[in-house]
Amino acid sequence: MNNRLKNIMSNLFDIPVDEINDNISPENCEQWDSLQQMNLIFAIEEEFGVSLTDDDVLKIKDFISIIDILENFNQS
Amino acid sequence: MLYPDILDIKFSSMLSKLRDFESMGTQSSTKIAFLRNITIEPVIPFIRYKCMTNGIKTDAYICDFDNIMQDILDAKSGLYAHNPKIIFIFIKLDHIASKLYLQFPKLNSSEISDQIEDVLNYYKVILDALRSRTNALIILNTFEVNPFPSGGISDSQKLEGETNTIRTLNSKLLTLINKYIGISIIDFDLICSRIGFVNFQNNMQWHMSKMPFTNLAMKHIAAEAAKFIIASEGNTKKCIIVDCDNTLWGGVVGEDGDNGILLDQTHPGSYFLQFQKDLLNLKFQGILLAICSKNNEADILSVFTNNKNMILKKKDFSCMRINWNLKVENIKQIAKKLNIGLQHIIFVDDSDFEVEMVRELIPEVSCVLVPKNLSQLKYIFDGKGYFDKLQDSNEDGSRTEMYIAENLRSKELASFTSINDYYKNLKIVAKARKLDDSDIIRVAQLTQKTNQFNLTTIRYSEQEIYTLMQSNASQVITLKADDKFGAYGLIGVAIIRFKENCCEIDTFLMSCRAIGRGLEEILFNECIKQGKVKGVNVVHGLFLKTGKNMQVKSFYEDHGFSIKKRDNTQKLYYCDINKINISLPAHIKEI
Repeated sequence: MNNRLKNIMSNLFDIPVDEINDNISPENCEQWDSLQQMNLIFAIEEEFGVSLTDDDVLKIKDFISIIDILENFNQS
Repeated sequence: MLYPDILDIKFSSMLSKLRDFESMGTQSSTKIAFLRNITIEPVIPFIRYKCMTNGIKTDAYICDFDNIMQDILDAKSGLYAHNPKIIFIFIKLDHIASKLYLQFPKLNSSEISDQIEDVLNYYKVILDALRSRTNALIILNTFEVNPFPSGGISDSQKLEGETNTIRTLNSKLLTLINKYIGISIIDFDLICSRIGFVNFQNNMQWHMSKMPFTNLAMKHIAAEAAKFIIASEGNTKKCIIVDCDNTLWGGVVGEDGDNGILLDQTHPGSYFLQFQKDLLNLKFQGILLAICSKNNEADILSVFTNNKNMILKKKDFSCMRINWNLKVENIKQIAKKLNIGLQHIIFVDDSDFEVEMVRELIPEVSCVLVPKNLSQLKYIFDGKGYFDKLQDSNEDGSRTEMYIAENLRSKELASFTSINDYYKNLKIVAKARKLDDSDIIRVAQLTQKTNQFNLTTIRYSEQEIYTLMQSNASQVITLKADDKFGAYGLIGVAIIRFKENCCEIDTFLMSCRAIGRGLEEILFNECIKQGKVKGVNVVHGLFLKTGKNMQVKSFYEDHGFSIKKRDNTQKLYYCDINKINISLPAHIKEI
């Protein structure tokens, strides 16, 4: 799951996959702005077959938070 | 290279393929432009991807959010500087006829008519102004019907109900555009029908980012929009080359005989009958038909002569290559005889083997395999835009320039609205105030999210904003505004710090929804006013250059400031507080 998300971010932000670490967030990644956040939501929904709610979207702060959200989907 | 169809590819892989394509070669780009009052940034790469799969490189310009009029009415705008060949104008009805769209039951008959007239007049201003300045193909969207109007079942019964009103509006829009040259409609209502309203509307993203579409809707809209670009470049298909056995009829004529093949009103011969009718329809629209079959010529010709059920006649085919040679060779010969490029050909065959060989050796030809499930034969060309034309003229299938009659141009120049009239008509009201508790969250958010109209891009947390608000050494100022269409909300933030005898503008930003109207002058004016109240003599302004805020790089110069200090990333400006140059826009009422 981590790798799939990193691939998505790599494609969206145009950064090589190995430069994407687990800490990546809008704070340390210039390309991750509000427009890209919207793109990220689309890409995640498509890749993982989930439908994010408002609450989910508000929880998106960084890479780990997205993994958490996705793991919640797996459990439910 | 076979690219996945736009409807099958994932967003992030699409971006990656698009980037690779962009970095290849020196192919010239088709310039396209987008004017919009909604967020459509994610749709654009999909459009460019579909164009790319048709061998077309595109260079896209997009206007600032909801700055349609500004770009159209200003001869020096980025739109005209870009010189696009095609301009898409994507408008959501909420902004230009909000009562029609959101409060329909409130309206009486004459109010409904007025709202419709307002919309048509809005488009008339747009089209008059655009047509006087550009030859570009202009594409407008129709409006999708609300499938669950608040009137319920009784709504559909009324010609003036909500559903029929939107249909009337769409119909009137079509009538309007036919008075001009080179304007087309992209039918959102039809797209919505194709995929279903629940799969079209994205209420969450609409509220969060003013992006009203689902991922699926974006792809369908993009596919549709790309069809116009592809058609305008003449990259569509002009000829269908078909096999015969198990394509035009069921069975093999060499074995079954010319009346033993399956082709009649009964299942499954009826599928082939339908297919022949569909091909004939295409022929009537100017598409050439040709046959490429591995058979004895006499056997095929005898079907045309002896089988009374044949819909297609020999004369319907512009060329036939019936022999035992390689189909790849035959196709090339047909192309040569008909004098069309291979990229303008579709090849339909029931054999994987034949189709794969053509795909391998002449990849410019588009191939369609007859589906094993014959009930799907009816749909094989659907949605691909293979045969799309911009207009229905049969005389000139490759018109790509629209020419404007000289008298039309000069007449319009005299009568269209000026940008000032437009601004005045917006009836903007603005309120600049010191921050109070209820807006702290929004203010912090704006400092975190705003990148373009942001002079320093300093990010603040709610706690930091609260501290700045409380302190005597600083002030946080907010700007709120409304116009006749509705409220913008809180759209401007300034943070000023008071130092010895001067005040420094630490933060000055405007939400991207509110630029292009002069509202920043109101906010700036308030900053200066607060400085005067504190008795400072000098105002300092800071500009930190980023990749995204180039549009405001000369903000301080424009207001009469001079540079005090500069280095690679930032400039510190200063100005005597009484010499600052502010021109408050006449069209904004301040309260």
